[in-house]
Amino acid sequence: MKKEIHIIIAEDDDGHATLIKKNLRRAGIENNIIRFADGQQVLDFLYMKGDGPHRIHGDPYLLLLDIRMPKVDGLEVLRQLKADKELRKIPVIMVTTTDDPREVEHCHMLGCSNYITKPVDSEKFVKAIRQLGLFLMIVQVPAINGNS
Amino acid sequence: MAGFLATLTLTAALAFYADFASRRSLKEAIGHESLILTQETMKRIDLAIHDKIMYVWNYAAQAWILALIAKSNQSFAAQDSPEDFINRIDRQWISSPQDSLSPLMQELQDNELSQRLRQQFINFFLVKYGYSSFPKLFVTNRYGAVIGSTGRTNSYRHDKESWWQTAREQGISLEDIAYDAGSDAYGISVALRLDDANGDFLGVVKAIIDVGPIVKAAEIATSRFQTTRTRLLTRDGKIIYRSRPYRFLQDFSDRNLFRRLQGEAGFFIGTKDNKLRQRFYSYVRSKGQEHYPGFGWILLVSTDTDEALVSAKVLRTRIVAVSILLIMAGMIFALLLSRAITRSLATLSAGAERIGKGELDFQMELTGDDEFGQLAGAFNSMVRNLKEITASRDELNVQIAERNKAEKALRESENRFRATFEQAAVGIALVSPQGRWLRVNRKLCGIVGYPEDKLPQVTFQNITHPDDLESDLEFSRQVLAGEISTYSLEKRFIRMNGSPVWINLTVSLVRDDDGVPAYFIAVIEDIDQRKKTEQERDRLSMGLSQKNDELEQIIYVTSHDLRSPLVNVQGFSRELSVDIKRLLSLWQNTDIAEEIRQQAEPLLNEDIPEALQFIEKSIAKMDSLLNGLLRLSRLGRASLTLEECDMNRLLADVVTTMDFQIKQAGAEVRVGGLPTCLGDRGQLNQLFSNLLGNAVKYLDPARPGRISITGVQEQGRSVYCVSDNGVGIAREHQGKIFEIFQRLNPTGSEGEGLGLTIVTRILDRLDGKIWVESEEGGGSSFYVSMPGMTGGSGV
Repeated sequence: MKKEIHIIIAEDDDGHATLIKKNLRRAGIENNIIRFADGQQVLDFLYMKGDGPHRIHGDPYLLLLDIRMPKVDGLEVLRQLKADKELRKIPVIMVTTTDDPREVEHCHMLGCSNYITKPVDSEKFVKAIRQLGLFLMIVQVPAINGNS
Repeated sequence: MAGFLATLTLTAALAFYADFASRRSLKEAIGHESLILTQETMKRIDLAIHDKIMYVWNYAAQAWILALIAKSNQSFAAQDSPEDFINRIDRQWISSPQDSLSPLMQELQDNELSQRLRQQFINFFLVKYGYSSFPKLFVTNRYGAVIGSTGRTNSYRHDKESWWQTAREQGISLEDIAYDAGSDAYGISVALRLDDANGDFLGVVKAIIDVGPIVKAAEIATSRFQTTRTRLLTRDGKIIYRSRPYRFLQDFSDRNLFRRLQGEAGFFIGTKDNKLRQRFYSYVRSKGQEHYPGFGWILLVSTDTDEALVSAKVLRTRIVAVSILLIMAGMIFALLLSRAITRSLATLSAGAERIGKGELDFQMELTGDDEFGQLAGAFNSMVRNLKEITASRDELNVQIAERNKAEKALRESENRFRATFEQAAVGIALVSPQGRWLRVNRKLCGIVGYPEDKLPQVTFQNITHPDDLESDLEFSRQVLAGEISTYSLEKRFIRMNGSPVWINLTVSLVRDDDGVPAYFIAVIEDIDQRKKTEQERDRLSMGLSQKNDELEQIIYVTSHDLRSPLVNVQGFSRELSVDIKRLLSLWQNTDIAEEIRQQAEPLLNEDIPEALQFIEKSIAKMDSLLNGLLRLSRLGRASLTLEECDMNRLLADVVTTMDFQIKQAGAEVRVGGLPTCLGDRGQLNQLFSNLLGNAVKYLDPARPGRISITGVQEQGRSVYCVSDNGVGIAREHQGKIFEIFQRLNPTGSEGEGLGLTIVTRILDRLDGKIWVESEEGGGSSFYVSMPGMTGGSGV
């Protein structure tokens, strides 16, 4: 990654968040990882609202989004982001437990870039994350509100 | 014969009547005719007399006679006493004997006047006609003295006589018929006054006119028949002239007859000889002619009616003769004809008798153009008709017998119907097209809750639940219009007490011979209980379904939500494992006391990894169970698309998909010709994948696996069979294999034990059925029954 891509993990379960983070690091991803536990915090961050942390204007971001979250769930976040002119540039990768094909379809329709099912088998999970990391290394992520 | 006599009698009667009637009218005619003739004759007589009178007058009025009379008058006037002179001569005249003439008489008679008178009035006529109508004629002067005469006069002087005076005063004097002794003749006398040119009285001329010849002449004219008699009578009924010998001026003998001669003219039919003879009588009274006033004489002409009618009689006789001849001829002809007729009639009657006896095949042989031929022809056709009619009648009898039988059958059927109708366990009603109850049975009254007498007051529509009324009316409209022939409908009636009752209504329509709707037949089944039960069941079913959905939802949510912590457990177990490994490597590279090493190493090398291993295994198991649950729950939530499924293609897909496993197991799969069925393609794919997977999984290692998939159609359903020659299933296990999480060989194979459960669930939703036939060690055959394309529900 050329510029420092910030990876946002939106996941309410601490265990899942930890596992993802650990495995990402093990996969060699050194990027900045920001974690939010509910949809509202994510939106506030990205829309630069509220009291919490705000995103940095002009930086590229990548979002790992879980569906089940309190306050605002993943689908809603996805919808809102993809509706915003700038924020829709952010690649969104759904990382969730459900593998219901209808859900998958729905998310793709809303505009997510990828959909990963969290396997219970951590072997597989780790492999998936690692692959994701490799993927992220080669991918181009546009900057938000700025030139990349 | 009787007819003949009758005709004869009738004809005779007619003839006599005709005769009688004609006679009468003939008599009338003849009477009139003879009257006219009589009138003519009288006229002629009067005319003749008149002529005679005029003849006298004209002669006497000649100049030379008048001169002579004037001269006589002068000579008398010259005398001193003409009166005495006249008297003297007169005395002389009268006293002289009748048969001789006095010298004066002689002188008078020989004078020129007298001679000429004689010549003119007597000799002339004698020569011409042989008689003279003027027996006597003389002329007197104004003193009444005879100055000339045809013969001897009674006296010399006449001026004292009435006739002379009348003549002088009135110009003419007429005296009725009388006998004149001087001339020995019967005649009328006429005296005429003679004047000179100045109109002064000169003298009187007197003539006696014999009417005999006149009348005779007249009689000749009127005598048409031999029995015609002519009579000329005076006013008083004295005979002037008569055809038969008579005495002049004798009294008319028949006073009765004379009394009938009333009025100016007339005719009648009288009888003579004591009513043996009839005579026509016609009479006319004289009216005179011009200067001759007439004496009121009566001319009577009579004829025998027989004679008058003789020509008529002749005619009648001829007619009668001809008639009789004609009748005779007619009789003979009629007789001949009747003979022929009788013959023909005999033939006809003989034929008719034969027909009457029943020989309906008999045809009469009577030809000919006449009426008999026609009659025979008519008879023959009648016979033919009769034959047909008899045949028809026989047929009719048969039909009547059949009809009676049919009627009896009908009555029986009617009774059966009534019994059926009344005793039926369902309500039956006959309803008018307008909805009026025409006939109902007991059960129906019970169902709708109206007694039989109250039903006619309400209609079908009245007691139908408003919510059901529209569809009921629409259906019945369609039936009436002929669009459908019958309909069934579950609907509610409102009973008399107001409560609704569910019924199953089946309606059909009966039409009359013209196709006009006559009445509905409604069969009404009380399904109230069933409906209530159904509703209950539906409610329960709905509740069940809801509960089911809830449960599925729970399963889904649960299995889904359980995943999350599972991820953590698994993940962090891994972490632990990784950390232990790192710790171990660290441990091996560190200097640690032997005792500690001895105590710690088993922990690090065996205990902790072992624990972690168990944990991981359990988690794997949980994961697999949850996956199975998730899949199961998803089955219920997935929507179905029911369509005709080409099972050959579907199974080909399944086999292709499982190609690897099949090859790995070294098995052979054969798919036979499979019928189509009604189902969801995806679900069926899953189903057969499971079955095929099981078949592959449970092969007998001792022999090469052979799996066959076949299918048949029976009773509207498609039955498929997945059959293998694998290890088979023991009888006591065959029920359990369909239970959830049950596996036949848990250690020897993979799987959660959900396969057949899933299959069962799928079939539940697709209205299918599954059962197994298997022997332990002898392979298994799984049968799947699906609805065929034509329908048919599974049990």
